[in-house]
Amino acid sequence: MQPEDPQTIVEFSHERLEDLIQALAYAAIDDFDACMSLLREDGSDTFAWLEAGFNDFLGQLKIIKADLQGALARAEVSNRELEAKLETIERQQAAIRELSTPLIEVWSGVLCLPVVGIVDSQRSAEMTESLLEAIVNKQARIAIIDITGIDAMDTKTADHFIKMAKAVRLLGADCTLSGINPAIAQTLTHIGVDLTGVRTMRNLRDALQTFLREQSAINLKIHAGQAQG
Amino acid sequence: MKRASASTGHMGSHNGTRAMDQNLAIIQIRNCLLVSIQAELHDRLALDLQESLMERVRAVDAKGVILDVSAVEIIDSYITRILNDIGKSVRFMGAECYIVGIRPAVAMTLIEMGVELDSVSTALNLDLALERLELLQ
Repeated sequence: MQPEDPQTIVEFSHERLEDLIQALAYAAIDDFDACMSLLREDGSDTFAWLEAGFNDFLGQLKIIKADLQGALARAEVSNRELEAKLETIERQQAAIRELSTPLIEVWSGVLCLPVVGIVDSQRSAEMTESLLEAIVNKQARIAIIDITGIDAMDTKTADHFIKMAKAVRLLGADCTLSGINPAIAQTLTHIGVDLTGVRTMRNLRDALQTFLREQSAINLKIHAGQAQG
Repeated sequence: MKRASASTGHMGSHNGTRAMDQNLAIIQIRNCLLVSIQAELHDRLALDLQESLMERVRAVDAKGVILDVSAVEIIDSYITRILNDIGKSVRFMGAECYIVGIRPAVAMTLIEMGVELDSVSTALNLDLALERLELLQ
């Protein structure tokens, strides 16, 4: 192929072209130092200008790449930290859930569920589940839900407790709510919560005492019936 | 579903009830009737039970009816309606109806669905239901 204009011909040695190709190959594998050492910057001829241009580009590319990698590493570190924090929170939540539903058999056939803190739908579902299981396993006749540890109650929370009481009654056990404080009593009245079917007692002690009194009355009646029969 | 078929013998010579073929035995204890439901309670079975149970309540002049549902894993809204109907009819005939042994999962589902099982009484187990029925008399 003959060039039309002799002035456009640039002469350079084959080695320099090979050096340039090799330098680009180094750049492709991120070895910028090896790459730049192969490029001349003296600008002694046209090819050297080309090399200088490449050198500038590659130098900038190197800086940008280093910046990006630094940012990426920092992001990864903070990401890992966040993940660790999330994991801790999850673990703690599980621990709180475990702690949140202690079921105490205060007397034979009497289960007590003291409730402390905020009752959301997930927690109430878990409480109901464990309460119902315990009632069936222990054949408890009465479940006392003690809410002394709750300061305020909204419609939703009240609804959770009513559902819990209804579920307990479906199993055939009685449900007593004890320890309602004045503020909650007023709220419940104000929002018009229907508490029929749920017995309410001043405190755990009263609830237990009432149950025992009624139980002994029932036993007396049964014995009387047997004596007659 | 035919595993409890041996117990159908308790039905004795009582005839004309399809529930007989379906693992439902109506057992008489003193003046109470006990039905232990050992199969899944599907609609047809529940309706048959309702029919044959009413006949038996009148025949033996029962004072109480106890339905043991401890083996039933699914109670839907239709079954609940039939159970409520049974409860109401039994009450009209001057007896009391107890459902015993509702599973915790079933209870939770019924509450979540907002279905009321309010025309029947519930008891934890057969023993307690009998005790309460005895106290009523």
